[in-house]
Amino acid sequence: MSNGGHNGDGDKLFNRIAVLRAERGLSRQDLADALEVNYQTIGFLERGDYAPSLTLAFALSDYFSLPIEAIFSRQAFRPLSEQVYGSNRSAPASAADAEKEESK
Amino acid sequence: MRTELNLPGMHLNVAPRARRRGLVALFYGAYLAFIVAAWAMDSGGYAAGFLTLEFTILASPILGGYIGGWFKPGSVGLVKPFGGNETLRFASRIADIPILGRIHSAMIDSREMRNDERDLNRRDRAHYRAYRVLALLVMLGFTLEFLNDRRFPALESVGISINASQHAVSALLQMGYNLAITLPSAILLWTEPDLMSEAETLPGATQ
Repeated sequence: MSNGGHNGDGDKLFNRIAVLRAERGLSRQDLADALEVNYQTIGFLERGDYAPSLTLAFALSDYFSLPIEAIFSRQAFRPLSEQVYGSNRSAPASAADAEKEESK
Repeated sequence: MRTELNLPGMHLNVAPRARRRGLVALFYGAYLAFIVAAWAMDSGGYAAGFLTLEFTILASPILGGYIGGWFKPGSVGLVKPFGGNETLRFASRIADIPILGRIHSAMIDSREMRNDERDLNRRDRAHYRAYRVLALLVMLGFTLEFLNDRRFPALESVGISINASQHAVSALLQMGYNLAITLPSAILLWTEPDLMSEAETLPGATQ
């Protein structure tokens, strides 16, 4: 789900682009067209083989309407299922419980 | 970079890096074999020179970059045109000119032509690597040219004989001509990781 890419300085950069794209039902080509890049570049970003420029990172942020730190991180992202249901994998009784869990 | 090599009667999937490396090895292997055969047949190097010219013009479009991949019809270049962005800027300038703009837009596929930030980054890095090889060739050629037909009595007196052939200089120049046009594309094809095919870009194909 989150992939690490190198920005050339040896710092690893993780991202959630694949998850965000899947959530919105977009193909790589759709996202690439919206950002005016090639679909291969989206693939390399998702695989963590490429760390984007600040311009492209902001373009992704604008496109998904999310802050950059929600898309990119220097630490590996926790899987969403773990964030929602907790690390012990016990399912919360309701959505309200899940939100409470998240706010912790 | 294209994921498929389309030649008359042949469609080769070159998304895996191993296949692209095989293609590059085949390209330079064929060139080397032709050149060696040409030098063997004609020690003057004229055949090799002619062959270098022909091979570079006819076979280099397969690799793309400088030659090949510029127009929609019959385009075979694997690497996007290095000057694709400039061509698109030119196309946008002449788009409003009645006949010329229409012909130009019919000939050019902007998706195939556009180099994004990653493409430009990779392109420039490939040129830096190619430059080092070419600089080495030029230095070697200059050294051989300098040594050609020169006598070094001091060295000969101690039994060391240095004699560089003009043919070696010619051969280096011929290789340099071919490499100057093909090496950046070859480096890109060699180093680019495995590519995703078009099918993987469909919705739901999220890896």
